[in-house]
Amino acid sequence: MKAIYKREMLSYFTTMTGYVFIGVFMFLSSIFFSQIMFVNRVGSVNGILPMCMVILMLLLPIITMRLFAEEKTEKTDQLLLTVPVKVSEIIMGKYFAAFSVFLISTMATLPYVFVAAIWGDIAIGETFASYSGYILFGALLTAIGLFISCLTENQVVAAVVTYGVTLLLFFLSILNTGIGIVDYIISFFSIAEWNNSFSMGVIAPSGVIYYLSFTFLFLLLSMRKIESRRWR
Amino acid sequence: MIEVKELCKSYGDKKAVNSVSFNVNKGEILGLLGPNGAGKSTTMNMITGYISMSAGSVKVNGIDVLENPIEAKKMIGYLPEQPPLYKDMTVKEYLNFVYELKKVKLNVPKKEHIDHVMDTVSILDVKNRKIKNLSKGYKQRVGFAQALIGKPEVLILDEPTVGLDPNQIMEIREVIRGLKGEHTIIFSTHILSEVCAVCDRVVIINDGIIACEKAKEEIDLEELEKIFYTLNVKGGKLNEGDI
Repeated sequence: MKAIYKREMLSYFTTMTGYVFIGVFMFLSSIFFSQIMFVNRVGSVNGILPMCMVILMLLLPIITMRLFAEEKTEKTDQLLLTVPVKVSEIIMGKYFAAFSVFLISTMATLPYVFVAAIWGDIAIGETFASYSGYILFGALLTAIGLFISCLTENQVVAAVVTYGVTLLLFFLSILNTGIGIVDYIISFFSIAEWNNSFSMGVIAPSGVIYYLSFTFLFLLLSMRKIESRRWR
Repeated sequence: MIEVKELCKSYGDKKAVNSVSFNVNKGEILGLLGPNGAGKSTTMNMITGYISMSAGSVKVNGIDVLENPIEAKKMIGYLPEQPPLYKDMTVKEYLNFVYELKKVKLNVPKKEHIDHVMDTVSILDVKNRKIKNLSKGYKQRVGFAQALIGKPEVLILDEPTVGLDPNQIMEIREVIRGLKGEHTIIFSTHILSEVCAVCDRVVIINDGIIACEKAKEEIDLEELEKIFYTLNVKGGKLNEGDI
């Protein structure tokens, strides 16, 4: 797993992918932060994180689309799948590499917290909860992107399908059928809805379990997909 | 050392490999000869555990590839038809990665082993170059080096001389001959003379089935040419009188 993690990280930062992702993320988030902080005069970071989620949905597929699709087009999966390494190690190595790049971009938002702390008024607990929710959200998005990359050998297809799936899950709560049980099911699958409590400063165990279990599910599906070529 | 038993692979109705069986003894070089699309690569992909077989089994040193893939793969070094190279890495970075990936445990230090492998396939002079900037011949050799990392007992080489110039072909053949004894080798090709130059035994495969199997002493280039002509040019089947 370590070898795969190291190679993926090397690949992100010897090509432009990692820099472009983090750079564009910082550029966009700083514009929104300046607007919220200095124009709207909201002295907290809680307003910026939901914006970051939207930016993340548009940028994260750039990080995840190549994870397996590229291996298939370059035929390097023939190396990974014929060396004495478990499929779970391959998937986890790749997942943690993409997740690390996401975490680096998250750390790049920390200066906003300091700025808000100096000129605004931030509650540490609330900020911590918001960040927890944001990181869990990113963890799930990365897993979804990885799974979709396992399904195709075309990186563009992987990226576009990831956009489709994540945007649908994000804006699901907008749908309103008026039928109680249907609306309940829709809101259950809305990945944005579950973040509300975090941004209000509450780390709800149900939210944590929700994000972690769906992340785990997509990682498991990725492993099954890669293993499936070895099934009879 | 390698026991291939009634191996089959079907894609829908098409049978890419149909009941292929052969054994390779320890230290032997087996040539898998056949026209393009005969099922050579599919057979090799099944031996190395990259894809599953529809039926049959492969055992490496008594270990079933499908039942105990990790243990079986520890003994196999594989050079696929298209070398699996990460083009954004340098040769040294790539071989270091493969070394760590294979979790190699040898008595010699890592650097010494990697240098030795690079020396074997003559790529020491390009070790700091990015793989994407190398010529096809060098890429092929880096792929070969990757298979040698960890000193696996079994080497599966899928057309290792494709894309090389005549000098390099001679070199690689020399390398393969040099590895004999230390490694058990299966190597595929569609060049007849290569089989005679390198192999102890040859298995001719066509349309997914074994057309004939011969030991080195029985290999007669003219006869092989005739068989190959029948299979390739006429697209026919072999009669008993042809062999």
